[in-house]
Amino acid sequence: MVSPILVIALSLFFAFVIPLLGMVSKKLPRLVPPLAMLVNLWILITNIKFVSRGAMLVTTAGLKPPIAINLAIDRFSLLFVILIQLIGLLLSVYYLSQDNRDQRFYMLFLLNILGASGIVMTGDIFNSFVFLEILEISSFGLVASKKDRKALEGGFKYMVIGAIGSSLYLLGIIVLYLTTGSLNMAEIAKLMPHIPESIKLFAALLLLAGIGVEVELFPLNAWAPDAYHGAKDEISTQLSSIISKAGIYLAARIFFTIFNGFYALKIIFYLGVITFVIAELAALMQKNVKRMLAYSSIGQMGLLMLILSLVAKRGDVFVITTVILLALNHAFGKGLLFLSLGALSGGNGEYEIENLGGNGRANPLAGFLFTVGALSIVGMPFFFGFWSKISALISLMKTNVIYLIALVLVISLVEIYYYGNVIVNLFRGEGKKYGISIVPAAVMILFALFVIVFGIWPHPVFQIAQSAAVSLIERTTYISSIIGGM
Amino acid sequence: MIRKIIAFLVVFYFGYILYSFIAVNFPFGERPLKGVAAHYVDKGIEEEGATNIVTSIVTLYRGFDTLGEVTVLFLAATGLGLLLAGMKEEEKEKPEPTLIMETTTRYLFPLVLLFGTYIFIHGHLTPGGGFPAGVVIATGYFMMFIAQKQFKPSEYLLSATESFAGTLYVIMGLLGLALAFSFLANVMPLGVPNTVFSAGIIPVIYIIIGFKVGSEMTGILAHLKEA
Repeated sequence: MVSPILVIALSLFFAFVIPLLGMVSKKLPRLVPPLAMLVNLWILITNIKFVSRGAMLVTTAGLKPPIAINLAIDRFSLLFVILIQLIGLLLSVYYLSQDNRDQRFYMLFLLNILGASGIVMTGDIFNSFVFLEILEISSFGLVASKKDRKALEGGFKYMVIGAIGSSLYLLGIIVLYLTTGSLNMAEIAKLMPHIPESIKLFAALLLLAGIGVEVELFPLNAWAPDAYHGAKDEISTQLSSIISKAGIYLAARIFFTIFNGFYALKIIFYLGVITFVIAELAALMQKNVKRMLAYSSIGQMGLLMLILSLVAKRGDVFVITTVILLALNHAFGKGLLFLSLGALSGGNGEYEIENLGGNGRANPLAGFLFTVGALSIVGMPFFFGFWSKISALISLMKTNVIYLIALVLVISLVEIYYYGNVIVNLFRGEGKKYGISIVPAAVMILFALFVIVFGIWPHPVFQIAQSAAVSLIERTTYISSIIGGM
Repeated sequence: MIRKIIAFLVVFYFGYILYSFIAVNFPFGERPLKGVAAHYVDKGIEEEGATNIVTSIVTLYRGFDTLGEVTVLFLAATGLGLLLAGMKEEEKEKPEPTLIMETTTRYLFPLVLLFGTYIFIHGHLTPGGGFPAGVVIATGYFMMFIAQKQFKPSEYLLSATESFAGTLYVIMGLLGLALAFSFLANVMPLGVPNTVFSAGIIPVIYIIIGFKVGSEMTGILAHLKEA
């Protein structure tokens, strides 16, 4: 058996070794990230069969929890870490085709994926803060790495809001530590019934402030449109497909496993509704396609958090399954949209709708892929987005809140309108033709294949998502497999 | 102006809530140690052999976090390097350092480096350790940057030290995984507490951290000086 802690140890090793390799040859650093992700995926896949009920305990420093830090990997975390590493692998292959990058870029990229994977695998709440820092600081650098005015502005805004969010998150951890005397997630969860209500609420709100920045929840999402707009197209993919997924995982783990579906989720519900509605309406107003995608991304995350908060009302496997399906659709669909938008605009930063007119006809492959991504995000039948949207509607029906169902349907029409508008524009008139090389095209086709194949044949994804959801629901099994007896 | 006043009042209000909540629920210094903290204080020396318990918490009990924190610093240095690369500002007239500064720093520099080394070698015995030691070493370099016009450490060497130290840190962790089936486990003999050769892997890790933090902070300062 290969210890899953190697995923973190080897990624770190590879990141530290890049400068040494860079001294040998300028070509080597580019090959390191794909190699690291391949090794990580192999380690994770060999571990799938060892993770059954409850969580797999991986100790550090040779001591049992809660004395030392441990990783706790259940099926829910395994699904997310494989998703993160898989998208990381696809993106690192995408970068192989670009040969003019600073080697430091690959270090930031690798550590960004490492941070996201660490958040998902750790069983220690302070450790999750450390990985959150790694994730955030590397993303500031990645966003700003384009080094023009917009990128620097986006990176700076993200840095200010991210720093405030993570310091409040740390304060939340301190409050929990002072009350329980432990930093181990399972032990805090076990002691949760003994914590006074007021302290619970206080800690939950502070933790929400840190997570809210990552999942782009109102009012902590002001950085997102600028960061998405300023960053390179691949980095925007990374922000929407990897970083926000780690945030969703953390929200589910903290508010469900630790706080046991506690009423902080009610606040998430209202914030989710506000985020969803405002962001989708803002997307409708945009003339700039990349900003439109950014707002649409925020809106999707709002819907995700809204559905997640329904778990409080009905601790039901189906609701969590829906969250996972929505997250998968967002990861692949939105990732595809950002990448193909890059190909359509020729990478020169012209994202206005009128400047893109006809570019879809001139670049048929990129135009087709953009259309596939958009159709999946709006939830057309025969695309993966259809199943996630239907599940979202069924989850809402189970809670008997009719106005929410109406709201989601109306917003879906809004989405169809603004995506339709872009697609129609892409295929009308004469556009500029840009070449696309084989490697980026192949990566985009793989993203598209996911939403098409599993749109027609969703059964396996449903099953995987369901077994992951079951392991999140079985809270007591998680706790007893880490800390013993409950 | 009015916006600023409102912003100030909002911040003040939230600060007040935060302060009053914490002051009521967690009075300062009046609680007995509980949970893991009690374990560290009671069993720390026996389990890990370091007289400085903070050290055994930093490098062993929560060593995985420390590896993460080292990575955070590494990221900050890397990100800064990435952003500043190629951004050259126009030449500014810099004041000449005086003769006194130039001469004293030349003699002070090796002493500062020696003191930094002392701190990281004795990290498991006295307050201090790899992080402060690295900063002390970087301060020595900072002094040289200010006082000596021609002083320029080799970027190649700094970057190689940094990478090499980071790699060694991970290898120390993997050694634990290979010998004790647990990442960063204390696999070396504990020795007699209160002597330099004690506490297993703690001094080794602190030496690595000292080199790593020292070269990283110096690298950051060198980049900022260039820009």
